[in-house]
Amino acid sequence: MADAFQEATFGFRFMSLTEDELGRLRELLPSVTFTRRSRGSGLVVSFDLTEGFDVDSLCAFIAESGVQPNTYSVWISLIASGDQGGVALPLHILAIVRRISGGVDFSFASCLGDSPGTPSGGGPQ
Amino acid sequence: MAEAGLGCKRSRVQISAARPAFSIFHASKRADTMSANEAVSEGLGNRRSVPSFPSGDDPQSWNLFAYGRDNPMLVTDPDGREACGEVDTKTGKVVPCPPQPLVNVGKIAFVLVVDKQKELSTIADIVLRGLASASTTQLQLGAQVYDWASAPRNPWCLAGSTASGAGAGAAVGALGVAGGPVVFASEPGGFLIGGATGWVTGMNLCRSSSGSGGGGGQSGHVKGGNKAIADAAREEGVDPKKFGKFIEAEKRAEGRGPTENYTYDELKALAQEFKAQGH
Repeated sequence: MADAFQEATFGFRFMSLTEDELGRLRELLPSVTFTRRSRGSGLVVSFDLTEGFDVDSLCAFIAESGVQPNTYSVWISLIASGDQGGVALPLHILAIVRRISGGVDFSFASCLGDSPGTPSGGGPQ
Repeated sequence: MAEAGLGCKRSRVQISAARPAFSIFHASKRADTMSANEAVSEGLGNRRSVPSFPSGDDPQSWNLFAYGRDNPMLVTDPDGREACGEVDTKTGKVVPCPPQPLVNVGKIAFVLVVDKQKELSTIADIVLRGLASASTTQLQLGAQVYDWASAPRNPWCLAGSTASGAGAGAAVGALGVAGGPVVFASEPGGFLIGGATGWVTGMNLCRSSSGSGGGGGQSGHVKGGNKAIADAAREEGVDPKKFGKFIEAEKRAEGRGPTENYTYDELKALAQEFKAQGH
C-alpha cells in the first residue's frame, strides 16, 4: 500500500492527581506540556515523553508525592494503516520503564482504509 | 427436527427430497436452508426434509442473497428466513421484530444459506447469513457469551484493540475453514452477506448503525474489516491518520484503559469534534 504508515508515540499518564500535585509536577517539569482532564475526584494528567525527558524529576515527584504505582504508567500508542506491526521501545523510554515501577499501557489504533487488492463487495446480492 | 425457531413469523414449507417446493429450484440447482443442527445431525447430503423460506407468491423472497428485501436500513432478518421490521403499508409503522432469545452460535440459532448456484457438496460452499435483532442482548460463540447490547462496535473485538477486526474476522473464518458453521452477526440495520467460493469472507463484522455490506467471496482468503476509525473519519471528511492520532490522544487524556475503545457513535462524535477544530 503506497500510503502505509505506522507511528508510535510515547507518553506518561497519572490517573488521579490533585491540583496541588499537578502544580508540583509543573514546577519540577517546567518545559513539559501537560494535558489534564477531570475524572472522578482526581485529575488525569498526561504528557509526552520526548528524548531527553527529565526522568530524574519525574522520579523525584513520584517519590515525594507518594502516588501509587497502579495509578501511573508509560503510555505507548501505535497508529497504523495496517492490521499488523510492532513497536521497538526507544532507549529513553526503556530507561523510564526500568526506573519507574508503574505500568506500561499499550494502545493501538488502526486507520485501515480501502486498499487495492482488498476483497470488498462482489458477493451475491 | 430442531429448527431455528427464532425471529419473525414466517410461512414455512417443508420440502421433500423428491420434490422441490418451488419451481425455481431444481435438483441440480437448488437453494436450501437448514439449521446448523440439521446439517450436523442429518449430514449435509442426507436430509429428508428441510425448511425453506422463499414464498411462492413473493418473488423478492426468492433471492436468498438479498438481505432484508434489499432494505437493510429499515428491515432486519433475525434468522435469515424472513425480514421483519418492514413498514406496514396500512399503518405506516414498522413491524417490530419479536424478542430474541440468546443467540447461540454454533448450535441451532442460525441459518445457513446455500449458494444456489452450487450443490451442497462441501461446507466450503456455504454462504453464511448473520442474525441479530433489536432485542438480542447477548451473543454466544461457543462457551463465550458476548454482551451484544453494550459491546464495543464489534463483539468479536472485545479482546482489545480497535484493530482487532481483522483478527476477529480471521478467527471467525478459521472456524469456517475448520468446518464448523459460523455466523456473521450484525445489529439491526446492518447486513452481512458473504459469497464464498472457498472460504468465507466477511468485510464488516462490526456493528454498524447505518448498515454495511458483507464482502464477496474470496477463495482461500479470510478477511475481516474493522475500519471504524477510517469509516468515521471518512463520514466526517477528515484525514484518517490524523484522526487516529487524535483518537489515541483523547484516549490517553480521558484516562481510558488501553482496551476501553470507543464505540462507533463515539468515534463519529469525536470526528465531528475533530473537524470542528479545523482539521
